[in-house]
Amino acid sequence: MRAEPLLASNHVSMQFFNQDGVLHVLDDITFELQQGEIAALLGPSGCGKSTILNILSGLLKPTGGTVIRTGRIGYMFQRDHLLDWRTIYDNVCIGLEIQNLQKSQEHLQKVERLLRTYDLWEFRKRYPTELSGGMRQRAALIRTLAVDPDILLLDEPFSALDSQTRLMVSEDIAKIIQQEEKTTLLVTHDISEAISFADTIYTLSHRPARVKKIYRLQLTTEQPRTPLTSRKAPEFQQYFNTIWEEMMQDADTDNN
Amino acid sequence: MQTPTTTDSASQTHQVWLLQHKREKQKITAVQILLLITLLAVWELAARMGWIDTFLFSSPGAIVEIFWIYFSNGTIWAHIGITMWETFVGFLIGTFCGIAIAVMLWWWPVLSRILDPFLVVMNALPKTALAPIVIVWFGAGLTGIIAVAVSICIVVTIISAYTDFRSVDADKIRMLESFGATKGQILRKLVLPANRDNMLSLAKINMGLCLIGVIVGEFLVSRSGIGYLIVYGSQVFRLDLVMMGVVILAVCAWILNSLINLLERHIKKS
Repeated sequence: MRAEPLLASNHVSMQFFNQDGVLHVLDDITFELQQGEIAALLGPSGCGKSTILNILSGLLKPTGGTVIRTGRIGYMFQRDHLLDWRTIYDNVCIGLEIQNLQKSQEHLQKVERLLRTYDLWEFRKRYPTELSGGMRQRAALIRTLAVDPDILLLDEPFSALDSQTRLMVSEDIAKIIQQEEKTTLLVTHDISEAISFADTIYTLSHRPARVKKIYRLQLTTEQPRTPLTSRKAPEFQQYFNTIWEEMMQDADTDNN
Repeated sequence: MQTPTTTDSASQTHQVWLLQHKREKQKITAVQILLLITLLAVWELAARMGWIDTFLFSSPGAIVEIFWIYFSNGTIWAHIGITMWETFVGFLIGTFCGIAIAVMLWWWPVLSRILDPFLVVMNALPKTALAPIVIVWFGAGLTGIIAVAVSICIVVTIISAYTDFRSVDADKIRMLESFGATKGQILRKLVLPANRDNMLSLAKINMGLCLIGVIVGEFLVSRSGIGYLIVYGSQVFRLDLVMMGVVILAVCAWILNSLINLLERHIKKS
Protein backbone atom coordinates (compact mmCIF):
# COMPACT_ATOMS: atom_id res chain seq x y z
CA MET A 1 0.00 0.00 0.00
CA ARG A 2 1.29 3.41 -0.91
CA ALA A 3 0.67 6.31 1.41
CA GLU A 4 -1.38 9.36 0.49
CA PRO A 5 0.62 11.40 -2.04
CA LEU A 6 1.78 14.89 -1.12
CA LEU A 7 1.18 16.08 -4.65
CA ALA A 8 -0.80 14.35 -7.37
CA SER A 9 -1.95 15.22 -10.83
CA ASN A 10 -4.91 13.24 -12.19
CA HIS A 11 -5.50 13.34 -15.95
CA VAL A 12 -4.70 17.02 -16.09
CA SER A 13 -5.20 18.64 -19.49
CA MET A 14 -4.80 22.23 -20.55
CA GLN A 15 -5.91 24.26 -23.53
CA PHE A 16 -5.12 27.88 -24.25
CA PHE A 17 -7.30 30.08 -26.43
CA ASN A 18 -6.01 32.84 -28.64
CA GLN A 19 -6.90 34.65 -31.88
CA ASP A 20 -5.73 31.77 -34.06
CA GLY A 21 -7.71 29.12 -32.22
CA VAL A 22 -7.06 26.55 -29.55
CA LEU A 23 -3.61 25.53 -28.36
CA HIS A 24 -3.67 22.08 -26.80
CA VAL A 25 -0.69 22.07 -24.44
CA LEU A 26 -1.31 19.25 -21.96
CA ASP A 27 -3.17 16.10 -22.88
CA ASP A 28 -3.10 13.67 -19.97
CA ILE A 29 -0.71 14.29 -17.12
CA THR A 30 -0.96 11.78 -14.31
CA PHE A 31 1.63 11.27 -11.62
CA GLU A 32 2.04 11.42 -7.89
CA LEU A 33 4.68 12.43 -5.45
CA GLN A 34 5.14 10.68 -2.10
CA GLN A 35 6.60 12.22 1.02
CA GLY A 36 10.37 12.48 0.66
CA GLU A 37 10.39 11.36 -2.97
CA ILE A 38 12.32 13.12 -5.70
CA ALA A 39 10.62 12.85 -9.06
CA ALA A 40 11.50 14.31 -12.44
CA LEU A 41 9.26 15.30 -15.32
CA LEU A 42 11.45 14.83 -18.38
CA GLY A 43 10.24 16.24 -21.65
CA PRO A 44 11.51 17.85 -24.83
CA SER A 45 11.84 21.66 -24.98
CA GLY A 46 8.53 23.41 -25.49
CA CYS A 47 6.38 20.49 -24.37
CA GLY A 48 4.56 22.60 -21.79
CA LYS A 49 6.65 21.95 -18.69
CA SER A 50 6.22 25.48 -17.36
CA THR A 51 2.47 25.14 -17.83
CA ILE A 52 2.52 22.01 -15.67
CA LEU A 53 4.44 23.82 -12.95
CA ASN A 54 2.07 26.77 -13.04
CA ILE A 55 -0.88 24.40 -12.68
CA LEU A 56 0.73 22.44 -9.84
CA SER A 57 1.57 25.59 -7.93
CA GLY A 58 -1.94 26.92 -8.41
CA LEU A 59 -1.05 29.92 -10.59
CA LEU A 60 -3.10 28.41 -13.46
CA LYS A 61 -6.35 26.44 -13.43
CA PRO A 62 -6.34 23.34 -15.65
CA THR A 63 -9.12 22.93 -18.24
CA GLY A 64 -9.45 19.24 -17.32
CA GLY A 65 -8.44 16.88 -14.53
CA THR A 66 -7.55 17.63 -10.94
CA VAL A 67 -4.52 18.46 -8.86
CA ILE A 68 -4.23 17.29 -5.27
CA ARG A 69 -1.88 19.32 -3.14
CA THR A 70 -1.58 18.56 0.55
CA GLY A 71 1.37 20.81 1.32
CA ARG A 72 2.76 24.24 0.63
CA ILE A 73 4.81 24.63 -2.51
CA GLY A 74 8.20 26.28 -2.89
CA TYR A 75 9.28 27.28 -6.36
CA MET A 76 12.82 27.40 -7.66
CA PHE A 77 13.37 28.98 -11.04
CA GLN A 78 15.75 28.64 -13.94
CA ARG A 79 17.42 31.90 -13.03
CA ASP A 80 18.05 32.92 -9.44
CA HIS A 81 16.01 36.16 -9.63
CA LEU A 82 17.92 37.69 -6.74
CA LEU A 83 17.16 41.39 -6.48
CA ASP A 84 20.30 43.45 -7.15
CA TRP A 85 19.46 46.19 -4.65
CA ARG A 86 19.06 43.81 -1.72
CA THR A 87 21.83 42.10 0.21
CA ILE A 88 21.95 38.31 0.15
CA TYR A 89 20.37 38.24 3.60
CA ASP A 90 17.52 40.54 2.56
CA ASN A 91 17.05 38.54 -0.64
CA VAL A 92 16.78 35.31 1.29
CA CYS A 93 14.23 36.89 3.63
CA ILE A 94 11.95 38.30 0.94
CA GLY A 95 9.54 35.36 1.14
CA LEU A 96 9.28 35.85 4.90
CA GLU A 97 8.62 39.57 4.40
CA ILE A 98 5.83 38.80 1.96
CA GLN A 99 4.22 36.37 4.38
CA ASN A 100 4.77 38.78 7.28
CA LEU A 101 7.13 36.39 9.04
CA GLN A 102 10.21 38.63 9.01
CA LYS A 103 10.03 38.97 12.79
CA SER A 104 9.40 35.30 13.50
CA GLN A 105 12.41 34.09 15.51
CA GLU A 106 11.81 30.52 14.41
CA HIS A 107 12.09 31.42 10.74
CA LEU A 108 15.02 33.80 11.22
CA GLN A 109 16.91 31.09 13.07
CA LYS A 110 16.17 28.74 10.19
CA VAL A 111 17.53 31.28 7.73
CA GLU A 112 20.67 31.68 9.80
CA ARG A 113 21.14 27.91 10.05
CA LEU A 114 20.66 27.48 6.28
CA LEU A 115 23.07 30.31 5.45
CA ARG A 116 25.67 28.93 7.85
CA THR A 117 25.28 25.31 6.73
CA TYR A 118 25.53 26.14 3.06
CA ASP A 119 28.46 28.57 3.32
CA LEU A 120 26.70 31.84 2.65
CA TRP A 121 26.68 33.30 6.15
CA GLU A 122 29.82 35.40 5.67
CA PHE A 123 28.42 36.67 2.39
CA ARG A 124 25.06 37.69 3.85
CA LYS A 125 25.88 41.41 3.67
CA ARG A 126 27.13 41.23 0.08
CA TYR A 127 25.06 42.04 -2.97
CA PRO A 128 24.11 39.41 -5.58
CA THR A 129 26.42 40.89 -8.25
CA GLU A 130 29.39 40.13 -5.99
CA LEU A 131 28.61 36.38 -5.89
CA SER A 132 29.34 33.51 -8.27
CA GLY A 133 26.57 31.76 -10.20
CA GLY A 134 26.67 28.75 -7.89
CA MET A 135 26.44 30.86 -4.74
CA ARG A 136 23.56 32.82 -6.22
CA GLN A 137 21.67 29.64 -7.00
CA ARG A 138 22.25 28.39 -3.45
CA ALA A 139 20.94 31.69 -2.11
CA ALA A 140 17.88 31.31 -4.31
CA LEU A 141 17.22 27.84 -2.90
CA ILE A 142 17.61 29.10 0.67
CA ARG A 143 15.14 31.89 -0.15
CA THR A 144 12.66 29.18 -1.15
CA LEU A 145 13.42 26.97 1.87
CA ALA A 146 13.13 29.90 4.31
CA VAL A 147 9.33 29.83 4.18
CA ASP A 148 9.46 26.10 4.93
CA PRO A 149 7.61 24.58 1.95
CA ASP A 150 6.54 20.92 1.97
CA ILE A 151 7.12 20.41 -1.74
CA LEU A 152 9.85 21.88 -3.93
CA LEU A 153 9.22 22.52 -7.60
CA LEU A 154 12.45 22.98 -9.55
CA ASP A 155 11.96 24.54 -12.98
CA GLU A 156 15.13 23.65 -14.94
CA PRO A 157 17.14 25.12 -12.09
CA PHE A 158 20.54 24.54 -13.68
CA SER A 159 20.02 25.27 -17.34
CA ALA A 160 21.13 28.90 -17.07
CA LEU A 161 24.56 27.82 -15.77
CA ASP A 162 27.61 26.80 -17.78
CA SER A 163 28.30 23.07 -17.87
CA GLN A 164 30.98 22.89 -15.17
CA THR A 165 29.21 25.15 -12.69
CA ARG A 166 26.15 23.14 -13.47
CA LEU A 167 27.58 19.85 -12.17
CA MET A 168 28.79 21.52 -8.99
CA VAL A 169 25.58 23.42 -8.37
CA SER A 170 23.35 20.39 -8.96
CA GLU A 171 25.55 18.50 -6.50
CA ASP A 172 25.09 21.32 -3.95
CA ILE A 173 21.37 21.62 -4.49
CA ALA A 174 20.83 17.84 -4.32
CA LYS A 175 22.72 17.70 -1.02
CA ILE A 176 20.64 20.50 0.43
CA ILE A 177 17.42 18.81 -0.68
CA GLN A 178 18.51 15.49 0.84
CA GLN A 179 19.61 17.05 4.11
CA GLU A 180 16.45 19.10 4.44
CA GLU A 181 14.44 16.01 3.40
CA LYS A 182 12.30 17.89 0.92
CA THR A 183 9.84 16.24 -1.41
CA THR A 184 10.88 17.50 -4.81
CA LEU A 185 9.64 17.66 -8.36
CA LEU A 186 12.29 18.50 -10.94
CA VAL A 187 11.22 19.58 -14.39
CA THR A 188 13.89 19.31 -17.07
CA HIS A 189 14.73 18.44 -20.65
CA ASP A 190 18.14 17.03 -19.68
CA ILE A 191 18.14 13.22 -19.52
CA SER A 192 21.32 12.79 -17.45
CA GLU A 193 20.23 15.47 -15.03
CA ALA A 194 16.94 13.67 -14.48
CA ILE A 195 18.65 10.29 -13.93
CA SER A 196 21.27 11.70 -11.59
CA PHE A 197 18.76 13.65 -9.52
CA ALA A 198 15.53 11.68 -9.28
CA ASP A 199 14.09 8.48 -7.81
CA THR A 200 11.30 8.39 -10.38
CA ILE A 201 11.22 9.78 -13.91
CA TYR A 202 8.07 10.53 -15.85
CA THR A 203 8.81 11.03 -19.53
CA LEU A 204 6.59 13.42 -21.42
CA SER A 205 5.68 13.47 -25.11
CA HIS A 206 5.76 16.45 -27.44
CA ARG A 207 2.86 18.87 -27.37
CA PRO A 208 0.15 18.10 -26.39
CA ALA A 209 2.11 16.52 -23.54
CA ARG A 210 1.10 13.31 -21.84
CA VAL A 211 3.03 11.00 -19.54
CA LYS A 212 4.54 8.27 -21.70
CA LYS A 213 6.51 6.11 -19.31
CA ILE A 214 7.46 5.86 -15.69
CA TYR A 215 10.97 4.82 -14.68
CA ARG A 216 11.55 3.87 -11.06
CA LEU A 217 15.31 4.15 -10.91
CA GLN A 218 17.49 1.59 -9.15
CA LEU A 219 21.06 2.83 -9.08
CA THR A 220 23.91 1.04 -7.35
CA THR A 221 25.94 3.87 -5.85
CA GLU A 222 28.33 4.48 -3.04
CA GLN A 223 26.52 6.00 -0.11
CA PRO A 224 25.30 8.62 -0.07
CA ARG A 225 23.71 8.90 -3.45
CA THR A 226 24.40 12.28 -5.09
CA PRO A 227 24.18 13.44 -8.71
CA LEU A 228 27.91 12.75 -9.17
CA THR A 229 27.91 9.23 -7.69
CA SER A 230 24.73 8.50 -9.64
CA ARG A 231 26.51 9.40 -12.85
CA LYS A 232 29.13 6.77 -11.99
CA ALA A 233 26.56 4.03 -11.30
CA PRO A 234 26.75 1.07 -13.69
CA GLU A 235 23.02 1.35 -14.52
CA PHE A 236 23.31 5.03 -15.47
CA GLN A 237 24.30 4.47 -19.10
CA GLN A 238 21.61 1.81 -19.60
CA TYR A 239 18.89 4.16 -18.34
CA PHE A 240 20.28 6.96 -20.45
CA ASN A 241 20.21 4.85 -23.63
CA THR A 242 16.69 3.56 -23.02
CA ILE A 243 15.27 6.99 -22.34
CA TRP A 244 17.23 8.56 -25.19
CA GLU A 245 15.87 6.01 -27.66
CA GLU A 246 12.37 6.53 -26.40
CA MET A 247 12.62 10.28 -26.81
CA MET A 248 14.18 9.93 -30.27
CA GLN A 249 11.31 7.70 -31.39
CA ASP A 250 8.97 10.43 -30.30
CA ALA A 251 10.92 13.00 -32.31
CA ASP A 252 10.80 10.72 -35.39
CA THR A 253 7.05 10.23 -35.25
CA ASP A 254 6.73 13.98 -34.91
CA ASN A 255 8.70 14.64 -38.05
CA ASN A 256 6.66 12.20 -40.10
CA MET B 1 67.92 55.75 -8.68
CA GLN B 2 66.87 52.22 -7.95
CA THR B 3 63.35 51.08 -7.19
CA PRO B 4 63.38 48.87 -4.10
CA THR B 5 60.44 46.59 -4.90
CA THR B 6 58.19 45.92 -7.84
CA THR B 7 55.03 47.04 -6.02
CA ASP B 8 56.67 50.39 -5.34
CA SER B 9 57.56 50.80 -8.97
CA ALA B 10 53.99 49.91 -9.91
CA SER B 11 52.62 52.53 -7.54
CA GLN B 12 55.13 55.03 -8.89
CA THR B 13 53.96 54.38 -12.43
CA HIS B 14 50.44 54.86 -11.16
CA GLN B 15 51.43 58.20 -9.58
CA VAL B 16 52.86 59.34 -12.89
CA TRP B 17 49.70 58.28 -14.67
CA LEU B 18 47.54 60.15 -12.14
CA LEU B 19 49.64 63.28 -12.58
CA GLN B 20 49.36 63.10 -16.35
CA HIS B 21 45.64 62.56 -16.07
CA LYS B 22 45.30 65.60 -13.80
CA ARG B 23 47.37 67.79 -16.12
CA GLU B 24 45.24 66.77 -19.07
CA LYS B 25 42.09 67.78 -17.19
CA GLN B 26 43.60 71.14 -16.20
CA LYS B 27 44.55 71.83 -19.80
CA ILE B 28 41.01 71.20 -21.01
CA THR B 29 39.59 73.54 -18.35
CA ALA B 30 42.12 76.23 -19.25
CA VAL B 31 41.20 76.05 -22.94
CA GLN B 32 37.49 76.21 -22.07
CA ILE B 33 37.98 79.38 -20.01
CA LEU B 34 40.20 80.90 -22.67
CA LEU B 35 37.58 80.18 -25.34
CA LEU B 36 34.87 81.92 -23.30
CA ILE B 37 37.05 84.96 -22.60
CA THR B 38 38.05 85.24 -26.26
CA LEU B 39 34.44 85.10 -27.43
CA LEU B 40 33.39 87.77 -24.94
CA ALA B 41 36.41 89.93 -25.79
CA VAL B 42 35.79 89.74 -29.55
CA TRP B 43 32.11 90.55 -28.98
CA GLU B 44 32.99 93.55 -26.79
CA LEU B 45 35.64 94.73 -29.21
CA ALA B 46 33.31 94.41 -32.20
CA ALA B 47 30.71 96.47 -30.35
CA ARG B 48 33.16 99.22 -29.37
CA MET B 49 34.72 99.44 -32.82
CA GLY B 50 31.27 99.67 -34.39
CA TRP B 51 31.63 96.43 -36.44
CA ILE B 52 28.27 95.25 -35.14
CA ASP B 53 25.15 97.24 -34.32
CA THR B 54 24.87 97.27 -30.50
CA PHE B 55 21.16 98.04 -30.87
CA LEU B 56 20.70 94.52 -32.30
CA PHE B 57 23.59 92.61 -30.70
CA SER B 58 24.21 94.45 -27.43
CA SER B 59 27.59 93.89 -25.80
CA PRO B 60 29.02 92.11 -22.73
CA GLY B 61 29.70 95.47 -21.09
CA ALA B 62 26.13 96.64 -21.54
CA ILE B 63 24.80 93.35 -20.18
CA VAL B 64 26.97 93.62 -17.07
CA GLU B 65 25.86 97.24 -16.68
CA ILE B 66 22.15 96.42 -16.73
CA PHE B 67 22.73 93.41 -14.50
CA TRP B 68 24.37 95.72 -11.98
CA ILE B 69 21.31 97.99 -12.00
CA TYR B 70 18.94 95.09 -11.35
CA PHE B 71 21.35 93.59 -8.85
CA SER B 72 21.96 96.75 -6.80
CA ASN B 73 18.29 97.58 -6.43
CA GLY B 74 17.61 93.94 -5.56
CA THR B 75 14.84 93.32 -8.12
CA ILE B 76 16.84 90.57 -9.86
CA TRP B 77 16.34 88.24 -6.87
CA ALA B 78 12.57 88.58 -7.08
CA HIS B 79 12.65 87.60 -10.77
CA ILE B 80 14.99 84.66 -10.22
CA GLY B 81 13.09 83.56 -7.13
CA ILE B 82 9.69 83.51 -8.81
CA THR B 83 10.96 81.53 -11.81
CA MET B 84 12.78 79.00 -9.66
CA TRP B 85 9.77 78.62 -7.37
CA GLU B 86 7.39 78.03 -10.28
CA THR B 87 9.80 75.50 -11.78
CA PHE B 88 10.26 73.71 -8.48
CA VAL B 89 6.54 73.43 -7.73
CA GLY B 90 5.75 72.40 -11.32
CA PHE B 91 8.51 69.81 -11.15
CA LEU B 92 7.20 68.30 -7.91
CA ILE B 93 3.59 68.18 -9.09
CA GLY B 94 4.46 66.89 -12.56
CA THR B 95 6.84 64.19 -11.37
CA PHE B 96 4.76 62.90 -8.47
CA CYS B 97 1.40 63.01 -10.25
CA GLY B 98 2.96 61.53 -13.38
CA ILE B 99 4.48 58.61 -11.49
CA ALA B 100 1.27 58.14 -9.46
CA ILE B 101 -0.76 57.92 -12.68
CA ALA B 102 1.79 55.49 -14.14
CA VAL B 103 1.34 53.32 -11.03
CA MET B 104 -2.42 53.36 -11.56
CA LEU B 105 -1.99 52.31 -15.19
CA TRP B 106 0.27 49.47 -14.05
CA TRP B 107 -2.22 48.46 -11.39
CA TRP B 108 -5.23 48.39 -13.74
CA PRO B 109 -4.03 47.22 -17.18
CA VAL B 110 -7.53 47.79 -18.59
CA LEU B 111 -7.20 51.46 -17.71
CA SER B 112 -3.96 51.68 -19.67
CA ARG B 113 -5.57 50.00 -22.67
CA ILE B 114 -8.43 52.49 -22.56
CA LEU B 115 -6.19 55.54 -22.15
CA ASP B 116 -3.48 54.43 -24.57
CA PRO B 117 -4.64 56.31 -27.70
CA PHE B 118 -5.25 59.48 -25.70
CA LEU B 119 -1.78 59.34 -24.18
CA VAL B 120 -0.18 58.71 -27.57
CA VAL B 121 -1.88 61.77 -29.08
CA MET B 122 -1.11 63.91 -26.05
CA ASN B 123 2.51 62.81 -26.22
CA ALA B 124 2.82 63.62 -29.91
CA LEU B 125 1.20 67.04 -29.50
CA PRO B 126 3.63 69.94 -28.96
CA LYS B 127 2.48 70.83 -25.46
CA THR B 128 3.33 74.54 -25.83
CA ALA B 129 0.24 74.72 -28.04
CA LEU B 130 -1.82 73.98 -24.94
CA ALA B 131 -0.25 76.80 -22.93
CA PRO B 132 -2.80 79.50 -23.89
CA ILE B 133 -5.69 77.17 -22.99
CA VAL B 134 -4.10 76.16 -19.72
CA ILE B 135 -3.54 79.83 -18.85
CA VAL B 136 -7.20 80.61 -19.53
CA TRP B 137 -8.30 77.70 -17.35
CA PHE B 138 -5.96 78.22 -14.44
CA GLY B 139 -5.70 81.99 -14.47
CA ALA B 140 -3.08 84.44 -15.61
CA GLY B 141 -0.81 84.16 -12.62
CA LEU B 142 1.40 81.85 -10.64
CA THR B 143 -1.11 78.96 -10.76
CA GLY B 144 -1.49 79.25 -14.52
CA ILE B 145 2.27 79.24 -15.11
CA ILE B 146 2.80 76.23 -12.86
CA ALA B 147 -0.05 74.49 -14.68
CA VAL B 148 1.70 75.10 -18.02
CA ALA B 149 4.90 73.57 -16.60
CA VAL B 150 2.98 70.54 -15.34
CA SER B 151 1.16 70.13 -18.67
CA ILE B 152 4.49 70.01 -20.48
CA CYS B 153 6.14 67.35 -18.35
CA ILE B 154 3.37 65.13 -17.04
CA VAL B 155 2.52 63.15 -20.19
CA VAL B 156 6.15 62.21 -20.83
CA THR B 157 6.45 61.19 -17.18
CA ILE B 158 3.37 58.97 -17.33
CA ILE B 159 4.43 57.25 -20.54
CA SER B 160 8.09 56.69 -19.62
CA ALA B 161 7.39 55.58 -16.05
CA TYR B 162 4.65 53.20 -17.22
CA THR B 163 6.96 51.70 -19.88
CA ASP B 164 9.66 51.26 -17.23
CA PHE B 165 7.22 49.61 -14.82
CA ARG B 166 6.06 47.24 -17.54
CA SER B 167 9.60 46.21 -18.43
CA VAL B 168 10.16 44.56 -15.03
CA ASP B 169 11.05 40.88 -15.56
CA ALA B 170 7.83 38.79 -15.55
CA ASP B 171 9.69 35.86 -13.96
CA LYS B 172 10.70 38.02 -11.00
CA ILE B 173 7.02 38.86 -10.52
CA ARG B 174 6.27 35.12 -10.66
CA MET B 175 8.96 34.54 -8.05
CA LEU B 176 7.21 36.95 -5.67
CA GLU B 177 3.81 35.47 -6.53
CA SER B 178 5.12 32.02 -5.63
CA PHE B 179 5.50 33.35 -2.09
CA GLY B 180 1.93 34.64 -2.27
CA ALA B 181 2.77 38.32 -2.81
CA THR B 182 -0.06 40.80 -3.27
CA LYS B 183 -0.05 43.40 -6.03
CA GLY B 184 0.92 46.08 -3.52
CA GLN B 185 3.88 44.01 -2.34
CA ILE B 186 5.02 43.43 -5.92
CA LEU B 187 4.85 47.19 -6.46
CA ARG B 188 6.75 48.10 -3.29
CA LYS B 189 9.31 45.33 -3.23
CA LEU B 190 10.01 44.95 -6.94
CA VAL B 191 8.56 47.43 -9.44
CA LEU B 192 9.43 50.68 -7.66
CA PRO B 193 12.93 49.75 -6.40
CA ALA B 194 13.84 48.14 -9.73
CA ASN B 195 13.07 51.46 -11.43
CA ARG B 196 14.78 53.81 -8.99
CA ASP B 197 17.47 54.84 -11.48
CA ASN B 198 14.95 55.22 -14.28
CA MET B 199 12.84 57.52 -12.13
CA LEU B 200 15.89 59.60 -11.24
CA SER B 201 16.74 60.16 -14.89
CA LEU B 202 13.08 60.94 -15.48
CA ALA B 203 13.32 63.59 -12.77
CA LYS B 204 16.33 65.07 -14.53
CA ILE B 205 14.43 65.39 -17.81
CA ASN B 206 11.41 66.79 -15.99
CA MET B 207 13.40 69.61 -14.42
CA GLY B 208 14.41 70.80 -17.89
CA LEU B 209 10.90 70.43 -19.28
CA CYS B 210 9.41 72.36 -16.35
CA LEU B 211 11.80 75.24 -16.92
CA ILE B 212 10.62 75.37 -20.55
CA GLY B 213 7.01 75.35 -19.35
CA VAL B 214 7.61 78.14 -16.86
CA ILE B 215 9.36 80.37 -19.43
CA VAL B 216 6.56 79.78 -21.95
CA GLY B 217 4.02 80.64 -19.26
CA GLU B 218 5.90 83.79 -18.29
CA PHE B 219 6.14 84.85 -21.93
CA LEU B 220 2.37 84.70 -22.11
CA VAL B 221 1.13 86.32 -18.92
CA SER B 222 3.54 87.26 -16.19
CA ARG B 223 4.55 90.50 -14.49
CA SER B 224 7.76 89.07 -13.09
CA GLY B 225 10.23 86.24 -13.58
CA ILE B 226 13.08 85.67 -15.99
CA GLY B 227 10.70 84.87 -18.87
CA TYR B 228 9.02 88.22 -18.22
CA LEU B 229 12.39 90.05 -18.30
CA ILE B 230 13.24 88.47 -21.66
CA VAL B 231 9.90 89.18 -23.29
CA TYR B 232 9.74 92.71 -21.81
CA GLY B 233 13.26 93.45 -23.01
CA SER B 234 12.41 92.38 -26.55
CA GLN B 235 9.22 94.44 -26.56
CA VAL B 236 11.06 97.62 -25.59
CA PHE B 237 14.01 96.64 -27.79
CA ARG B 238 16.51 96.49 -24.95
CA LEU B 239 18.64 93.62 -26.22
CA ASP B 240 21.00 93.93 -23.24
CA LEU B 241 18.04 93.10 -20.98
CA VAL B 242 17.09 90.12 -23.17
CA MET B 243 20.67 88.81 -23.17
CA MET B 244 20.93 89.26 -19.42
CA GLY B 245 17.73 87.24 -18.99
CA VAL B 246 19.11 84.44 -21.16
CA VAL B 247 22.42 84.35 -19.25
CA ILE B 248 20.64 84.24 -15.89
CA LEU B 249 18.35 81.51 -17.22
CA ALA B 250 21.38 79.48 -18.28
CA VAL B 251 22.87 79.83 -14.79
CA CYS B 252 19.54 78.83 -13.18
CA ALA B 253 19.25 75.77 -15.43
CA TRP B 254 22.78 74.80 -14.51
CA ILE B 255 22.05 75.17 -10.78
CA LEU B 256 18.85 73.12 -11.02
CA ASN B 257 20.69 70.43 -12.93
CA SER B 258 23.46 70.34 -10.33
CA LEU B 259 20.89 70.05 -7.54
CA ILE B 260 19.30 67.03 -9.24
CA ASN B 261 22.73 65.46 -9.76
CA LEU B 262 23.49 66.01 -6.09
CA LEU B 263 20.19 64.37 -5.13
CA GLU B 264 20.93 61.47 -7.47
CA ARG B 265 24.35 60.88 -5.96
CA HIS B 266 22.90 61.09 -2.45
CA ILE B 267 20.19 58.52 -3.22
CA LYS B 268 22.54 56.16 -5.04
CA LYS B 269 24.94 56.20 -2.11
CA SER B 270 22.33 55.31 0.48
